[in-house]
Amino acid sequence: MDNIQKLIKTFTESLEIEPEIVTDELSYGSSSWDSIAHLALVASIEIEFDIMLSSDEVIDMSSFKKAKEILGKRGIQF
Amino acid sequence: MIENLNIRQANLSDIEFIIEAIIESEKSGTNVISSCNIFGLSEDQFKDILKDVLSQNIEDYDYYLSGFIVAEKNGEYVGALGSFYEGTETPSGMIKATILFQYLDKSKMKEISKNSRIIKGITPKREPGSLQLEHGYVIEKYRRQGVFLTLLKENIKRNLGKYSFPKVQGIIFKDNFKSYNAHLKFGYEIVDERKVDDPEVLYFFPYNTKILLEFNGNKITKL
Repeated sequence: MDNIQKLIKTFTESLEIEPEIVTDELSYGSSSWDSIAHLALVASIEIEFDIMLSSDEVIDMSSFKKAKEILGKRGIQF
Repeated sequence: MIENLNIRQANLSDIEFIIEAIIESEKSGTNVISSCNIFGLSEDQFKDILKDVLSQNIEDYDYYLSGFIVAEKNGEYVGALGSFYEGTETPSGMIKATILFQYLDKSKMKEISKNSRIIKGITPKREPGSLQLEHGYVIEKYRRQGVFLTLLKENIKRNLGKYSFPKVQGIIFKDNFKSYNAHLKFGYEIVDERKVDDPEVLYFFPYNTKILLEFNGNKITKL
């Protein structure tokens, strides 16, 4: 499984949504992505990609697109 | 009406009472502390987290210490009410999640994720750019004497000098009749209602229906 598939899987499982919904437009507040789901999502991302996110990164991860950008800066290629 | 109430902005010395206000407002007259059940925390652990985050005094979400006002009479606490501005760029929920993330046990995240699915959809969305009033609490012996209405009015007036907002909102449980009736008496209107039918939701929340209340327009300027 490549990184983009891993990230999509993390989003679908954490937010309990269909993979088709996971596009760059998916953002906080849409679908089931609320504050509690955000906690579960960032925790899953940490586990899946074996990283520790900073507070700035956690608050900045407001969309699928942003998540890719943040992980990209950590050297994770998409 | 109670006379000679002293109303002031909360500060670090009030943290214990503000924690009591937050917990009692979460309970909404029951014994269910939502945050403890959702995040798998004991009441003491939750209190410790609240103590820490309130002392950080971070704006734009519901644990913003300086957003609280407290009412006192003869040096004794009577009640409290919190407020925060719902940001246009970063939602308050995102700020809260980021702050709580530092305190929660990562090994419990799968359980928290499962819990989030059960309660999904119960909380109405707050409108960016609005003033939010939450965590209202009045000590039992001072209830039914207009203290809560005084706190609502005073908190809105104080925030008028700080932010520009077209409306004031608040989220409460529909079945919390005392709070519900007090808000309607003040002039709030119900603008959204969210119900979760899964009976398991009652393990996490005192009731299964939340409402978004709004107070706006001329009503604000007439205060």
